[in-house]
Amino acid sequence: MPGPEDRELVNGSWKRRTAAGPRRRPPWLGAAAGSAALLALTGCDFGAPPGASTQGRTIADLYHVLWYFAIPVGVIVYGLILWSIFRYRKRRDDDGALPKQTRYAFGLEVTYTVIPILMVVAIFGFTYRAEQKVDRVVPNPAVVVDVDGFQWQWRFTYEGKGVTVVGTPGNVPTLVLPAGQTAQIVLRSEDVVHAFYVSAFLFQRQAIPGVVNRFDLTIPSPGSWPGVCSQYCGLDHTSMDFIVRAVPPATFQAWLSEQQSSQSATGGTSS
Amino acid sequence: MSTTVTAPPAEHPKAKRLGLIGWLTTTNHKQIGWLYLGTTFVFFLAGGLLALLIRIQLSRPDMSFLSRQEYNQIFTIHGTTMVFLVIAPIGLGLANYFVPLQIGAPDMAFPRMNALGVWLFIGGGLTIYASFLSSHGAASAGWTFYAPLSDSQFSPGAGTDMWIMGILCISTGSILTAVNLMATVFMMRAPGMTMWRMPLFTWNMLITALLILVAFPPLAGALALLFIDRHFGGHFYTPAFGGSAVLYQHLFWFFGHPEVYIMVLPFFGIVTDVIPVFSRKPIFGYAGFVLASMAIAGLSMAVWAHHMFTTGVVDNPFFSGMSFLIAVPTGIKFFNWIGTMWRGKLTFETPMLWCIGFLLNFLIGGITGVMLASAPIDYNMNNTYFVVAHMHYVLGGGSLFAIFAGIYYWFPKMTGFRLNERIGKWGFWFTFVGFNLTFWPLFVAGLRGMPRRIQSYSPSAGWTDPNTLATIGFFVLLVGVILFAVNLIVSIRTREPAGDNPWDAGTLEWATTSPPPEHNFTWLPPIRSERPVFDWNHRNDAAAAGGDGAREGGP
Repeated sequence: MPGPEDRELVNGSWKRRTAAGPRRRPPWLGAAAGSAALLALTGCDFGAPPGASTQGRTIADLYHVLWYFAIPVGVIVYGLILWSIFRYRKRRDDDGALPKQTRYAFGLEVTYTVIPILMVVAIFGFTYRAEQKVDRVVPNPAVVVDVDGFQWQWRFTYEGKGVTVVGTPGNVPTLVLPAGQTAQIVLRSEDVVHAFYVSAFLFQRQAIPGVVNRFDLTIPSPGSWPGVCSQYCGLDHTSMDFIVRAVPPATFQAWLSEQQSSQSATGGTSS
Repeated sequence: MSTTVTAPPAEHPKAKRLGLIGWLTTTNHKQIGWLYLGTTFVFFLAGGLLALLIRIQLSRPDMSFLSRQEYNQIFTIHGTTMVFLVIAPIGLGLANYFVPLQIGAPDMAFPRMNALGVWLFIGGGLTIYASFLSSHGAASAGWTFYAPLSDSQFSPGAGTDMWIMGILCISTGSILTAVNLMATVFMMRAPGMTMWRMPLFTWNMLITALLILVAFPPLAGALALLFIDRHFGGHFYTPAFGGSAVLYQHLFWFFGHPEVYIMVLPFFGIVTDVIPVFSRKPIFGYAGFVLASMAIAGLSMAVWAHHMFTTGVVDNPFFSGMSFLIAVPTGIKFFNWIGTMWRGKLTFETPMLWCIGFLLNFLIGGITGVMLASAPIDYNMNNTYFVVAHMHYVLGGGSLFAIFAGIYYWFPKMTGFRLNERIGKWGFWFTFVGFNLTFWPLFVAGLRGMPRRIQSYSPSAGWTDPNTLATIGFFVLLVGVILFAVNLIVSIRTREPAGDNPWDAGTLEWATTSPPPEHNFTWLPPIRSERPVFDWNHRNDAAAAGGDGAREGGP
């Protein structure tokens, strides 16, 4: 039922105010606008990279799913706030009477509690599934690389291959990996907490002293991507960069043997 | 004080003026409230100045305006200032001033302990700022102070110790004030002021006080262990000697996440007191709002490891699930606010404008918060500028906007005169536009992989445009803050009298004079709902009690 504030006295009879729209429109409008935006945005990447690794693609997909929840919620709530501001502002010809002093609407309160709970359960389901995929480590990776963070560089040691790559100031280390195969990273820190972060893979993991972290990187096609330390680690945190380069497996093997011979000859490492 | 008196007396005793000694020795809750507010405002300007330096350094790629050492100190102290010296203590300051007034009490329960609390806070803050003068400069381990980076091997120098000692002082002060607030609320309510008739700012402060009691002792413990590590060979956080670096993160975030709610719940309370006044309606869903605050407080103690998703050593699904759940009570609050405005008669004086700014900004902070609660999303976003933008939307666009709402709303009560509406509105618009212009681009920088706490970036990284835009936005924001300062000066000079209840507000603080006398009340209206002053002022208006009837008691 429309309240008296929606009507005005015209020529002795109550008329509905012309400025007032239909009562139920705002949530409706919000939902409609939300769905329209949703359709328009299905192809959108919402600003995040598409994911250059298999695991990263899973995260990018989850990121899109969350936007499909976030956009309608945002549009509806924004719609309700803005509608309240514009529709229920005090008019110039206000009669000074108090509006209806509503305090509770139990059914409505239950509704706006239960619907978000259902949404949260759904989001949790998507999150859980994605996380299982991203965190899975295979028993037989093609290559295992020990990645050690230290102030303020990275060291990449290829397990069982006798190859070590270490960065020096002014010489960014490159983590070479075989494309199309699964590489396992064993992450450690030698001093403070660092984090191995490659934005293109939408992935980071902390390197914590005393903790060994394992994760898999499966990079479908060759390419080269910048990585950084994302956990603040002191003075030169800013320059703790590295590069991840994925090459075809044959090239990778060739690179490994070339490094093996040069490193055993000099007894040193390369960067 | 009696509720049987039917009309307020014509003359109230006036508050007396204080000299320097008076201010140093006061135990009156209102003067202690002023001490908190004055000090936090100075720290806010200092923290803002540090933010300005950060924004200048990041405005273009490869800038060398600040050295790395300077930059690291500056972002550490900027974060420390805004968290420990501005947003959390403003809540305590406003609570000091208004909780006794809102429940009809003459003062806080333990006035001398109250004074100890504020001086510990001021002393702690000055200790942290004094560390800029120490040999290695101020602390530079980030406001989260992760061990082992904050250990003596990696962060030598007195500045780091001064930071630890400053925070220990502040947490002790906060704990004392929290105990005091709880005792005040439980023991000193006026006759008729049942728990379920308390104003929602008071309710949220009570819940905040509980969170302080839970959160600050672990922080103090974590920092005490760190101090032992630094000076007495403790090795609590050094794995090589059987310690654990992860332990520090657990202890810190067990403080850190309740702390987030310590920094927002008081301001949810302000917004919930202000919106009904300017909507000419009671709060919609009072009991639901209180229960939602309790739910947030309860959940906030079970979500700390969502700050540790990328450590690889915590149960990510559990902490994701609990963090998602916090969206439910927070959503309830949004519907309380919208439901209050719905079919009201809204006017947009400055306090209401700031509340609307709060709603619009905080929603963005909330939605991005749900995203970050998803562990795999956090694998990408953690420690990037996406998180920086998110938390600034929560604490800046949310809490600070609500703080401004509270200051504009309560200033007439605290001083007896109003802040200038015209300058206030200009200030709001500059702050609102400037804030969004500063922090919206940082979401983009984060999505493009910009990690936080870096001192410079290369032009090829793709982070230049968002950063330049953010710096421009910061200057617009700065105009807004300067306009607030101008407004203070202009209004203090003009002294436009406000009267006792300029907004036709309903809670008990508006029953006394502006400013209130030393012991607050000589008369109280009968307390029959959560807005006794409104009931009293509209006692002859049938519509005031109308609607579906004022509900008494609890849910």
